[in-house]
Amino acid sequence: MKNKKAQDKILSVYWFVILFIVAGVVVYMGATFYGEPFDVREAETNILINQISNCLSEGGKLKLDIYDGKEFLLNSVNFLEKCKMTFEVEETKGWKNDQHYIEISFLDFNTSIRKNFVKQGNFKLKNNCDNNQRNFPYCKERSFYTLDENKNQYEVKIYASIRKTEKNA
Amino acid sequence: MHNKKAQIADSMTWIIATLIIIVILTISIFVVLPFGKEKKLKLLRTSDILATKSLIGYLQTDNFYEKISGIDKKDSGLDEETGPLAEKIFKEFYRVTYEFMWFGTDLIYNEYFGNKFIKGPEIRKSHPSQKHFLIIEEINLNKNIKLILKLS
Repeated sequence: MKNKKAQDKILSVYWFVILFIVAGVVVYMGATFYGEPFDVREAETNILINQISNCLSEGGKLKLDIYDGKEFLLNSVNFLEKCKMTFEVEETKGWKNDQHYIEISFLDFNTSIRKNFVKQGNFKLKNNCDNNQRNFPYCKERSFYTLDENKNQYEVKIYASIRKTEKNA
Repeated sequence: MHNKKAQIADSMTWIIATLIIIVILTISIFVVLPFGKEKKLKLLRTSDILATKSLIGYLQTDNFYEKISGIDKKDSGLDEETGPLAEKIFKEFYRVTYEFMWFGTDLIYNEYFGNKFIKGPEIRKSHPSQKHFLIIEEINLNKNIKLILKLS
């Protein structure tokens, strides 16, 4: 009878040990899977480029507050205001609103001569781009075709770079 | 003697059960480990704002809209004037983002973008049919003519 009781006690201890091991492993697997942040910078860069393109062109033509038919009204100083954008970021990880950089080039479609150039943000990001490395800024350049009021043809190149390595990667 | 044998058998059962549990848990950890290393959020594109802007800009060029919407249904709509511009815009601007692009009217083939569905053995493997195109922009120019941009 005594022997049976002792056996039960040992078995209970054994089950508790197994229970803790299984629980520990499940917690470890969960932490491993969900612990690493998602890198959303590619999606963020696409959204930024789309927003900029919407700010510049509508209905296949450059907007009148961007190019009035005589000169470009968009420049590096008024870009954020005109496009209703902000590059402010949350105060964390020592960030100082220096996590974004954009360049917009308005090129003559036939000659590729640059007609206007706009840049905004932390230009240092451009030199450190590496889309395959988690600790480097994510960069992307895309183009679209558009006309102005005088039916002149343009290639608009939009380059965007986002750092945020500490939070996103 | 019988009691001892029974005890050994009982212990062996528990030892083997423990080993099996540990093996299963170890395998689970190794299966999960690669998923935890790098997680990139990739969104499935179903539209491309920049390509759409280019397409609308293209139609606004000279009299392209009137020209293409006035063609016969058997005509590809891309001639010496409209074809090279479409080629330059869509092939040059979007070749980095997409493996394959096709632009034209309802006709299956045009001389600037080739076959709507099949283009070479490699593409045939990855794009056997229309359903594999991620982005399809269609503009109805009139009752008969539809302008299509496919990106994949």
